[in-house]
Amino acid sequence: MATTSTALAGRPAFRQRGKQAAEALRRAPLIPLAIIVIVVFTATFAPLLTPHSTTQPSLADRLTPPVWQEGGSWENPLGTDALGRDLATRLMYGGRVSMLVAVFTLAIGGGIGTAIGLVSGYFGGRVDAICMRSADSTLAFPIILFAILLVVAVGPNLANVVVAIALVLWARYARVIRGEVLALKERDFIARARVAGCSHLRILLFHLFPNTVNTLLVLLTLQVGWVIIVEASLSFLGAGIPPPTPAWGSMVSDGREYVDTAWWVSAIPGLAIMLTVVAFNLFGDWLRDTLDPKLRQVS
Amino acid sequence: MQRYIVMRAGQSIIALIILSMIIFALGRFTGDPIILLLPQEASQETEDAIRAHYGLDQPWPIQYWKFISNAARFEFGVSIKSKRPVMDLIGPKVMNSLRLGLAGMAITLIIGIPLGVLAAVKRDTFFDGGAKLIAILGQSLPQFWVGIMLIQFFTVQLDLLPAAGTGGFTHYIMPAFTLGWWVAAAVMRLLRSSMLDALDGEYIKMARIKGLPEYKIVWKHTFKNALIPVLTFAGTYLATFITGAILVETVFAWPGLGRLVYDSIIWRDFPVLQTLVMMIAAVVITVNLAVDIAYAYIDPRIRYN
Amino acid sequence: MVSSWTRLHKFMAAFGVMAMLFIVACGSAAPETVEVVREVPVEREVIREVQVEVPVEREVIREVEVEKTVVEERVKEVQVDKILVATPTPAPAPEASIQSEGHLRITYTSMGSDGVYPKASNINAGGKDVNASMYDVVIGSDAQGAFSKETGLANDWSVSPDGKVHTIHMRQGIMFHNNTEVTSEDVLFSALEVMEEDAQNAFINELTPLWDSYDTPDAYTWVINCHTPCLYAPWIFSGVRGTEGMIVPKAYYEDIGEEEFAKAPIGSGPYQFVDQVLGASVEVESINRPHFRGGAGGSIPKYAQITFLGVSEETTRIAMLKSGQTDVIDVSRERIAPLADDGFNIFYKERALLSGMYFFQQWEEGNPFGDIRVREALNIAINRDAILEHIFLGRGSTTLYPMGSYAAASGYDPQQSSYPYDPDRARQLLTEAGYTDGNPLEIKLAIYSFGGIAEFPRMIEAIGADFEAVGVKVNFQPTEYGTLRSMRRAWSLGGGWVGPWGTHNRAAPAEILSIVKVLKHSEAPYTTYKNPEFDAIMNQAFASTDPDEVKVLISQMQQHLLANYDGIPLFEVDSSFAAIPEITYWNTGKDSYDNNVDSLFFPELRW
Repeated sequence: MATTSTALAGRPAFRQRGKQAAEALRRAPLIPLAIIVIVVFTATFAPLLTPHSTTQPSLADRLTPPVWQEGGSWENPLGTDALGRDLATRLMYGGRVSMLVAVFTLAIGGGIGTAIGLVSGYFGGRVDAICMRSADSTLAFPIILFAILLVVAVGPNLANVVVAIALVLWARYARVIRGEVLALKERDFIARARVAGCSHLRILLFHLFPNTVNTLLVLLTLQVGWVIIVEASLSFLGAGIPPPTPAWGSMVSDGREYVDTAWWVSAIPGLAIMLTVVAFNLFGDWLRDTLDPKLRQVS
Repeated sequence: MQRYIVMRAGQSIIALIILSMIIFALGRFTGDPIILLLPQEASQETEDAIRAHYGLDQPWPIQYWKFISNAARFEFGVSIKSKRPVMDLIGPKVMNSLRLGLAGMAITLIIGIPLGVLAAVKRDTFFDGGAKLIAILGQSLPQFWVGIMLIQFFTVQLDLLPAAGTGGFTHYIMPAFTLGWWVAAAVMRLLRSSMLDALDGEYIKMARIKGLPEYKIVWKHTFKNALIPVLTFAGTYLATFITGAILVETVFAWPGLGRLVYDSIIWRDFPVLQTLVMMIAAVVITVNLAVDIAYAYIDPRIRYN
Repeated sequence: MVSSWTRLHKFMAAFGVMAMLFIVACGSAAPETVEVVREVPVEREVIREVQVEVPVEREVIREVEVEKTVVEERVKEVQVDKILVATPTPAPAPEASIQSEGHLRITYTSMGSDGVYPKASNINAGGKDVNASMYDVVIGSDAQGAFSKETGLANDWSVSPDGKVHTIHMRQGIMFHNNTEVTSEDVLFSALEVMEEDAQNAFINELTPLWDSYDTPDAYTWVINCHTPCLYAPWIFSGVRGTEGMIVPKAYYEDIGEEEFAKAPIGSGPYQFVDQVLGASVEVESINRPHFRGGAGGSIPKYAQITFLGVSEETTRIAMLKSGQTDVIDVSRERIAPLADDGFNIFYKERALLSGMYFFQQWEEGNPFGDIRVREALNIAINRDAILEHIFLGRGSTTLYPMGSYAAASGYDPQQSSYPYDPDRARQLLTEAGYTDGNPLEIKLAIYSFGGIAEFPRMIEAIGADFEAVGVKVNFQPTEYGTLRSMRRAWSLGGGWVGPWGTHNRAAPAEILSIVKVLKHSEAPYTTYKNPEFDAIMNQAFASTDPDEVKVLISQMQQHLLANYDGIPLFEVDSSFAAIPEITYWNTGKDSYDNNVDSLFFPELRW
């Protein structure tokens, strides 16, 4: 009976949804999308796009200005850094590192947070209390300091930076997802699933989780930028991605020593960060308006 | 209700105790303050003597017990780095951080609120996009970079504002802006979406039908309701401003708490680190507790859940 | 309607309050820690003074009145010459000031550990300069890092022939800031204080095992008795080293106790304590009467008020200097040129900072650095000249770490300080040692930021690239200073760790022996080298009571280290400072840890 009615209503509803999707796509932020595509493309294909090495110094060419400035050349279109390395090359590889950090951090932090949020909200009671007090405790500590402490304790490298940021990130996801689950739990389809004898795991994975995906997607998109910025901040405090690996954050941080003599060393990676973060934010906003207009969660 | 409060407070205390253990252990994983404090020329005997003086030669459980039992009596010990009582270090910085935090939050609201209102009222127009962009820009640059650029422009180029330190009104402008702009996007988004919700509401439609002027609808009926979640958010975020302004404090040489925590990590100054972290955590956890209890009063369903 | 109006009003008011919070918060600001008032005294007089001293430039002086920029340029050049000559001959000032005037603000990267009294030994970063302004040391030092009978409390001293008894005679009539006289009782008390178990002083421990007792035969004589010869005891209490030699008033200190003394310290130096913001600044004011450190007959310190500030961010320090928020900053070599172009005066503490790398735990079984061919190969693989030229902008030279050019008078030969750049031979040596392209030498190269040498990470990256160029596989090991130091102490850097380190250039034999012992003696807690032959030379030097013999032994140590490639000696580079144009003279001296701020307080005294 139920199946038939959906089937009957299916056509117009589908057409309706198709129209909506077209409308949403028409309103998609094209410039931000283009920026994201360029960043991902150059990061992925960096080795094919540049003849230079990211790490090999060329001391005699240090601090060469970009091509449009006096003294610049097409050899290093964006100039060179303090060790004479091609800035454009480091920018591409740096984007790769920054993106990897963002992806891994969000995968780990978001993954753990979502899992805890699902469990916490679904089971409630003592489990909920433990999870939420842990989240409170994590959030009670200034994020940057927590990350510094971890990185200083275990040594700064890419993996540890990822773990450090993820360890403070999970609590946000846990809270948001828990809130979603608390609302979903009251809905009929969960009760029905329970009556039908579904296991807890099945309910969590196949009934609750899919309904939080929209929120999760929005949150993840909005936080790509946040992770990049936190990584930069850690670099500034000496606990970020260490040299010689290029990352946007550490490039800005190292380059700040030349703000008055060689602006491009820090300004160019700074611009890259800015454009990327703005792009992800605008994209995330659009995603939210499209997928989940009710979501007001602040990232 | 009483049972709920007792239970919830008990949970908070347990959380605090666990946090104190984590911070105690994590601090000690970062190394030994004595090795850092003394020049390489120091003999093993000197090191041992100072280590014993600060009780760092004791087993961890004993050290932890001393720390926690003294803290319970409000005795926080002496900084290993500067040989001064921990509270002497923290005391003056609390006010500095509080002032900067309040100034920063004021800037957040000054930027975020008008932009949020503009974006909501002129929804999907050029203004909406522009407001969003201004707010998001603040979130898309590392704070230290914004600070350095401000200094380059307003201090070095224009010679208008002092580069560093505390002092009069002018000293607050750049650090507060750097701090505040960062969160303005959040306030703007929050205000925009709650105003949009309110503008779609039935009673606003009624008000329009009644023919109320638009400015009254926006400011009187929408804005004031939408402001409540914004102010709640600002209140909870203030704690982060006060304790987590470490980047801004570093760039503008602001003698506040964030920088103090950072220094205590770099110097492995455990007494300062532990005390500060516990103080910060206690404040934040207490605020959370108060909020939960307040909600429980308002909404009885919570306490039976 | 009325009630809803008031409610609306309330919300508007709430917003207004929030907006005004900003203003309110700022209005109730704390007492200023950073003075914005800019009061730097009589630039004109300073310029004249320089002119008088340098008659060669007389012709130029005519231009002074006409074109100021030219003159300042000249003065700067003169200055550089002066520093290089730096003979400690006090010349009476033509117009000695009668009163201290103006406010000098010195901004360093850090105020060190914040300690403002000797027992809280604060010798890091700007810490020792702060303490040096407030306290006098027992035995003074000159700008060459040698003893001086003019600048310390002692005006004479002698050692018994067996090297066990030092008798120190003090000048009379030196007053603490509370107008009590400095006596040998105070010296004895201060010397015992730094020996307390909670004292953070490190150098005193070179004396403690040899030491027997202190004596005060009279109010102006202090005696150090050792049971074993302790030739270098006076160095420990001198201005060349830490804060051990700084004297506090016994009566006042005992009266109020250590905790209170830390908040209101009193010394006998040219400046007295006013206020401290922990972790940020220290303010001192002139005693406004002649002080013996100002030359024969004493003179009044130049500035009425001095503020020492710690600002860790270099860009901020530069902005402060440019906007007149500070008068003196420390600045890295790379950022000097634009500041000099803007008319700021640049001062160098020439060759003050040494750097080198260690082959950690090279004595262990299976450590690749046990093979001298490997050690030599890595040494000659580095293009030191290129790094000096491009990373340190030429402001440095090579050195045999941990000895440096300051030690030239103590038996060290700066000419034999390093190894040639020969990558081909390096490859060949590695091949001989059994490392091929298929089986390369793998090392772990520590990379981290080091206070005082901002270029450190870049230097390490460049060296790593040089290693890779001769076929070494370099695994960069990012770390942090404190962590690496702890690992070093825990002996957990085996199996191919190479790590850069830095230290001060040291002039006195006592200091050289002490640092070499820490780094190279088999039994030292930080040792990076174990060699019985080398231990024997060191033991002999420490037991010696003949200064000339010690010089010969230091020379032998140099030859030994050079021949054995015990580590990777790198560079000695200048520390650099920028100051407003009005400050035309500053001889930063050769003491360890301090920058001879006395030459700022008493500029008439040409060091």
